[in-house]
Amino acid sequence: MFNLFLAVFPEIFIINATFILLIHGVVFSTSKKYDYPPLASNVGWLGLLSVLITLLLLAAGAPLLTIAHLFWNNLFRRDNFTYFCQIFLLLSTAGTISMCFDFFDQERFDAFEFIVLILLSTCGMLFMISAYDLIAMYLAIELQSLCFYVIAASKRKSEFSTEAGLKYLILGAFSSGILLFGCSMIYGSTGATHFDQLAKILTGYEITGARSSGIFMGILFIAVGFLFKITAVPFHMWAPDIYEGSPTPVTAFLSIAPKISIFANILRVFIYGSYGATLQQIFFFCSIASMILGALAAMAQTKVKRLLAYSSIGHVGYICIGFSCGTIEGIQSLLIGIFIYALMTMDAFAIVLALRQTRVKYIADLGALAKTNPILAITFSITMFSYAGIPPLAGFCSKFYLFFAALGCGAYFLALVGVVTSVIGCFYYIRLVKRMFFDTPRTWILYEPMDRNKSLLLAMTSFFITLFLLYPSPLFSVTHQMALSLYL
Amino acid sequence: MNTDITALEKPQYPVVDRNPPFTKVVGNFSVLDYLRFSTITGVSVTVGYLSGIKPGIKGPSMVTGGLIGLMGGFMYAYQNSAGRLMGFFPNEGEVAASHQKRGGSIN
Repeated sequence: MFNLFLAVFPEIFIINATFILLIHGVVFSTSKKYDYPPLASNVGWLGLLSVLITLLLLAAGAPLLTIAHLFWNNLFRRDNFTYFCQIFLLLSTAGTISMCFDFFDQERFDAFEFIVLILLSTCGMLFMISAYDLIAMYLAIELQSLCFYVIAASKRKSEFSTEAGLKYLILGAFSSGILLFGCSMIYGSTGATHFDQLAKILTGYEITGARSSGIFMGILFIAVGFLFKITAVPFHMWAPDIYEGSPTPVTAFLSIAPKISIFANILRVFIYGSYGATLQQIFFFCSIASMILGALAAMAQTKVKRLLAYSSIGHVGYICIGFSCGTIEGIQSLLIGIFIYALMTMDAFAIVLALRQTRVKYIADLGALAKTNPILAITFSITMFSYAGIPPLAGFCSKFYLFFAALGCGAYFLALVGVVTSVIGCFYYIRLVKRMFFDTPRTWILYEPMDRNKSLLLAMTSFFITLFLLYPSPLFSVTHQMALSLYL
Repeated sequence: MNTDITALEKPQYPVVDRNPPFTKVVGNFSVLDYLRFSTITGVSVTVGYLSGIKPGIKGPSMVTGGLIGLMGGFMYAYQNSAGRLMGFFPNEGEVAASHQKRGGSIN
């Protein structure tokens, strides 16, 4: 009986570690004996340690984790797809936590609960990735989302942060409600919440004539709920304000980790459960709209974080191309896209956090960065070129495979829109490079050297972005295995 | 509740015990398992100590790190030991011990 829990050892560990850190934080942050110490960094390091141990338990116990692969009333499934998505999620979380330490010192950020909530949301995301039932999926989504609502507003003295948290709460709760409504309609029409049962009922239901408005509306609502959460157009309105208002480490985490878990959920629910023409059309439209809006709206931005928010919306559009195809190559290109997007975003936000020490908020403040800090300017340029999809960087590779997958399944218009919007997107990415290398700022800003954690993270991510094209086969074989395990 | 212990992947090595009880798995901890356990605990205690210097809570932070490390190290060792007994990890030692035990009980 105890061996059933072997399958969820990583989740059990991270939950227990979170509780230990919470108790540690509560007891010692209010301790008169230790003079009420600020514990954000201390809990941060212990939280990072917890994430790395979770990663060790997950990575080292791979075949063991498929024991009781459908356990607890078949609520969760462990397979190659779950395994690699969870590893990727934990790596992203570790990278994001490592970016935060300097932020805690610079901003005198004293809330140790920040790290506890990140760990809790990570646990929610681990469950989301392995969820195999609509109820389990929804509960995991709520565990992840509720933590994010709080950490978006964690900078209590900033009205922007409070506004961001409130907006995220209202819109997140709204999208969760729509998602749950869709789940209830599917259950009402089919009597099933388990993905295996739904797959049997829903596969080809449009062709067989067993079409039911309840099923159709249910799938539509679930799709809308998910599209809200990944900030796809036309459900993207909340993203730029929340990305700008939240503390920068929260924005970094928000841009990376939930997208991995929600895309994993989307693939499980729709590719396995209920892929059809209706869904394909919805994602087709959202992909085109996201790419166009992401490209055009970002051109008008003057603030760095808002620009990255619109860039994120555009990239969601590119990633949705892979889903719109509905083929194994499409799913593989989607997974490659998410992986490379996450690394580029980690890189970009690490640089934004490093620049933040000197109060760089506007794009104009980047002027002459190449003169004051040339290495940082070169790294930022590489990241921007990668975002723009310029070869031979990783961003080019991800867009190439996405467009190839679109062409392979006959979605020529999608690929054309993708190429055109990539070209438009080049404008604002290269504008940043021009600003750093060729412009003179209004007021010169002295840049302080960044801390070791961020510089290590930047080195690793930049190394990957620059040299990925030389040896892409490990990522390709992993993503191919993941895509196959969805279809088999 | 689904209590089927069958894994998605078949065990690649000989199965000594398909569903070993907790005491058997802990009793099967090898030297390497104890080494892993102590390494993870040691690293966690060190991280706790070093991160506790700045806020001035070295001792409590060390204890918290130790707790996290103890739990993680034990789970890692348990995972490896159970994996060897179930045939998912290389297990020559366990197979030999099992044959010896069966040979001894027959005799």
